[in-house]
Amino acid sequence: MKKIISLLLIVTSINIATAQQYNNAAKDSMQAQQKSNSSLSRFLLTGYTALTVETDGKEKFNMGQVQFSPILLWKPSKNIFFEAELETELNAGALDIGLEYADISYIINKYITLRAGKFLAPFGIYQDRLHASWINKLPTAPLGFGHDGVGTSSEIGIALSGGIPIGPSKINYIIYASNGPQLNTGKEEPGEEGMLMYENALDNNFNKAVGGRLGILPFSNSSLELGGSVQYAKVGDKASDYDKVTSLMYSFDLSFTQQVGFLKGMIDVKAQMNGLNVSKADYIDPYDSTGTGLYTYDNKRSIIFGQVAYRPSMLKIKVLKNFEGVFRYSILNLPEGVKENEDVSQIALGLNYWITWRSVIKFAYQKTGGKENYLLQFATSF
Amino acid sequence: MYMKKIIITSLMIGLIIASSVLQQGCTVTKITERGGAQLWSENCTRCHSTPPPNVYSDEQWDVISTHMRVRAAMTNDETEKIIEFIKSANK
Repeated sequence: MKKIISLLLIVTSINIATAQQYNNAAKDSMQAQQKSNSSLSRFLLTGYTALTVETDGKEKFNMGQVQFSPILLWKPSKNIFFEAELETELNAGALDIGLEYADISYIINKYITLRAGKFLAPFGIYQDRLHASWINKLPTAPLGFGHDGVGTSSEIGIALSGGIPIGPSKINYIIYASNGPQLNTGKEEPGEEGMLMYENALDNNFNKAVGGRLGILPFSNSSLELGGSVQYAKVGDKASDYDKVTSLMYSFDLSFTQQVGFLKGMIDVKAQMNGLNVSKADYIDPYDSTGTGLYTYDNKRSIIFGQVAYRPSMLKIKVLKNFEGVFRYSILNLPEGVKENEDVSQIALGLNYWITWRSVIKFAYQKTGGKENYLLQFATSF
Repeated sequence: MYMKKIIITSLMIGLIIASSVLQQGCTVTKITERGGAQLWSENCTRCHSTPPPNVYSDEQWDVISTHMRVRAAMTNDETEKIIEFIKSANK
């Protein structure tokens, strides 16, 4: 009898243990499933879109500028993060598709994040933080900013970045090494000799561009940020006549955003200056009839923009507090002696109406050189 | 010609900033002592309008905050406090 009872107890214990094991396994499986679902839910498709109407009031009345930029964000684990933006734009009947950025980040510790891939250039603040149409307060970019401008807009390489609090202030930094820009010698595109080509997936000279940006936010409310950026690169093709040509880019930027009581609203000031120096080189003269004549020039370019926006956000009348006025002044300075030389300045005045926090209708008057334009844009993020 | 315009524009911008800073007074609170709600509002408005917490789920905010930490080089403490605030506001 004792043996039977003992046997029953052993069998029951084994059953209970097995059941518990099964339950634990099922629980583990469920938790794994939940974790898996959780990692899937840390995937976000977002982005922005814009429709722009442009007219000069005389001959041109375009309604065909449509932009759609989906952004994919994914955080597969606590320290790993992936982001990518595809930029599609229908402009004057042509469809442009580009990979704005696609990079993976690894958060090493509180103060250092490693990033690799194609990332927006931390060169000033415009391209990195303000270029998206639902953020940009005017329908256009300032003169010389954006793609093919003076200064890099995105880089392919690796970067270390982070933010560090220092008492009531904080600093942010990024340093990177990338394929860097390449020199346009004008052989294939006469008139563009001496300009730089950016966003190069292939290296042309076994040399990496190095650069970085340091931002200082002196006030604890983060209202003011002053930044300085620099990039140095060899830009000529290896073993060519331009082997030793180098470029030095630098940028200074300012951002100030604050609610101001006596103005009953929000003041937003942004400014940036980019400078680009390319060392001297001899280029084929595009106007020489023999096609062999050479010329050179002091290859220094710069662009500047300053923008002030005001929104009476502290007013009690809802309709009025959604309006925003913007003024921007920008300048493009080209080198003296270059064949295609025309310094240009632009003023832009805008009136925006914010339908929601992420949807805006912008109306702007823009005068570039002597040309006047009127623009209407609807932009939203999703 | 350009130089004059730049100087005038810079002076105007400088005046606006200086008057705003004086009007607000110099804040000397350590960043580490600021609350999540405050940090959330201050950091978003540096570039764009501040979104309401309920437009995204907690998991989505976790992803977005990392995106912003990388993009705007926000500090680790700021990011964690902002996320904590948003999650509490979303309950």
